[in-house]
Amino acid sequence: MADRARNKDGLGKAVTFNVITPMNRFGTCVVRLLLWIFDRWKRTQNTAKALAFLPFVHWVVIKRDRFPQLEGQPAEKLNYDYLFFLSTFNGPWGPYIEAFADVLYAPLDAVWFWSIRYPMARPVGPLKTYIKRNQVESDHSYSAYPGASVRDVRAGLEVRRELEQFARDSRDLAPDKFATEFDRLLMSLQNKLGSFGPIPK
Amino acid sequence: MANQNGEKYGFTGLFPIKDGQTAALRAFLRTLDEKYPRGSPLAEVSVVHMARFVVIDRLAYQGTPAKVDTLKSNYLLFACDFDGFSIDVLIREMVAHIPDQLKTIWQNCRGFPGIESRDGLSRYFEQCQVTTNLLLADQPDATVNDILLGLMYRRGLGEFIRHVQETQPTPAELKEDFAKLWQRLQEVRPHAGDL
Repeated sequence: MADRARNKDGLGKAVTFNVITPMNRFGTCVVRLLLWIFDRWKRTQNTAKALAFLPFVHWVVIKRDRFPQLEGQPAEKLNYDYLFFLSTFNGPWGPYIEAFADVLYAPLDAVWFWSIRYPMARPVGPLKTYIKRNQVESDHSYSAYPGASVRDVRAGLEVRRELEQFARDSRDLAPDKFATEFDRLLMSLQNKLGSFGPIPK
Repeated sequence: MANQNGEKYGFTGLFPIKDGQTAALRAFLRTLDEKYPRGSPLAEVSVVHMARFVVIDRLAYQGTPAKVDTLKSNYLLFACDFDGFSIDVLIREMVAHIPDQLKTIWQNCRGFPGIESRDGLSRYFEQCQVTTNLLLADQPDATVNDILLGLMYRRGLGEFIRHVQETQPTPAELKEDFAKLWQRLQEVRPHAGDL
């Protein structure tokens, strides 16, 4: 289970996912341009963010002659450039791929189309086979908050903001008014208070 | 600037592994989560959100008519998302907090200069760095500390609500209990890897 970060209480929710696929030179140019556009115009990332299960994703293009080469190390002689997709997701593998194929098929196809023998995101069966062939398991994964999903983190940040505001604003209130304002706080945060934590041993 | 997204830096590095060291390195990496109570030595490096180590010793063959690519070296892929604007921040924190583990991992890699010179180590990481073309971060401006505090507040408030439901305090008691909760939340600081 080296793909999954853990802590003392059990395995965490975040799972690392690494896929390395070969591309030809023309594909490399196109993919670099596309990734540059996605990076430059953050609005293009909104759909991925709406899925709410991707804390981090790295897309990396390495040209065949750009693998790091240190003193005394033989140079790589490769036939292809390589695209590294390194993501972290919350939840099981199958639904993750299906959600990608359902919701993000357009950007996914635009980028992975240039990888050798990429089958396209739909239907999802061939995509899963392709990913299995090119997926590499992590040997160690770490998360500073392994028990928290993306939704947990978002909710936590919001709870903290509102709670700080409430603590400031309610300090001098009379008890009755304080109780009313506390109820109001709970109503605004009621959907953000679920429990979280790692999967117990 | 794709290595950077908001306040976060996404480092991706490929470190060539010394000949004959791949199995030992992989075995060591695979024991880390059991060896450390918080699941990783990186829990001591307070700027790190997430990280992974992956030993890459082959490239998948795509089937006919694709060509077979064979690596001449094996590589340690290290991808790390941390609070900061350069690799120097990560190096400084790792040298300060997990020097032995850093040495044990990277001494299996070619060209590792040791940890005596931080500048030398930064140069080494830069040599092995590959540019992250696109770094997606869900919370680009929240630090590790912000997120841990947020989660702790969320848990604290949840427990407080359960307490209120069980004890049904008067408004005066509710205000007093909340003041105690607030005081406790100011005093406790969660550690990375605890939540």
